[in-house]
Amino acid sequence: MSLNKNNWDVEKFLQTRAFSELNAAQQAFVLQSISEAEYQSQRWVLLESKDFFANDSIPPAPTLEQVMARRPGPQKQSGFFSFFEKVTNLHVPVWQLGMAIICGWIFGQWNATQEKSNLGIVPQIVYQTDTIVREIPIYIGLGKQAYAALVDSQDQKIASQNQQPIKKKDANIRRSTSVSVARDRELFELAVGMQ
Amino acid sequence: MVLLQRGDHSAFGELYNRYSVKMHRYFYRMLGQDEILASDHTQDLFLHVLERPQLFDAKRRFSTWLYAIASNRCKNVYRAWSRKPATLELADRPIVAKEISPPEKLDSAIFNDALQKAISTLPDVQKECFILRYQEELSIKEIVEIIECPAGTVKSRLHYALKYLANNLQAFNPKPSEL
Repeated sequence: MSLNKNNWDVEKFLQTRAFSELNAAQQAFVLQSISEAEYQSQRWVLLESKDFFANDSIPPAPTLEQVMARRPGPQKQSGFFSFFEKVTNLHVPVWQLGMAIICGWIFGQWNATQEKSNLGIVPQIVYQTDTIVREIPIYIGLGKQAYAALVDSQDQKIASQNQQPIKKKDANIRRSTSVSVARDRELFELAVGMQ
Repeated sequence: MVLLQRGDHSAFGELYNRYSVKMHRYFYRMLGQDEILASDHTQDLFLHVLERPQLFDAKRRFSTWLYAIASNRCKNVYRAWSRKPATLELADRPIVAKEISPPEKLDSAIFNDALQKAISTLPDVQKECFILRYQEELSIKEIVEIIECPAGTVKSRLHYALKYLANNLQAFNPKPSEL
């Protein structure tokens, strides 16, 4: 539908005036787009349609109560099902989930072979002539050099010895003899100092 | 709507009272006069408003926003219909006969049935513009906002819709002089 400098609009004319009610300029404007017969028939359809829409009986709209009844209530699920639903709602691609599981398994295997920092101590009183000494076997992690030392009551080193790398079976034993973290650090520093 | 966005659900009742009839009428006409379908979509539309009020842009008019959502829902239905093998064309749907006895009412009923069928068979985009303009009585500017098309496109669709209907209902057309 065309529009001219007078802001005329054929569609507006169709709604408001019969062709004969248009002035000459308006008729000329309309005839640029459609013929008089087309104008007449389109106007007729338009008016009939509006009349039909105004009078046609539409079934009643649903009530507010019906809408509210349709509203989904809070779904309460407990325990595993709730957790499972949350996990499955994450929509993680299966290949990513698979990779994550494999990576987790590999890390777990690797981690199991690693020894925690477990400086152990089995202090013993050793009588050597008239000097009281302590023997401090210190182990530094699985696969690392072990270190043992003899110190006197002033914690002065009398003798020391590097041992072979620690084996797995020894590491298991040391776990049971592990000491507190603070003491562990203290002994470690002592051992390092002696080296 | 602003109240609803702030969490005041009592405002929803007011919105529903204002717009439910219009939306239901729109769905009813757009979805082939199917009462159940229209009712379902009206309810879903308002549930959408209730559940996600934050999607409303306060700069827009609420009614045009609502019509825009409704329009998109209708398009989804049309898409679903186009994927299904058509067992019963819209135009062939039986229209429930109304109780009419006098001849002049019978003529009117026949014409209305024919008009309803003709509107149903309009291309979707033309039907949408036609119903928004002449049933819902929205302005061209409002229709532009709803269907996000230039005004020229809307007018063009209206023109082709009127032309299509005029051609299809030619048999009912009285003499031009009678208008």
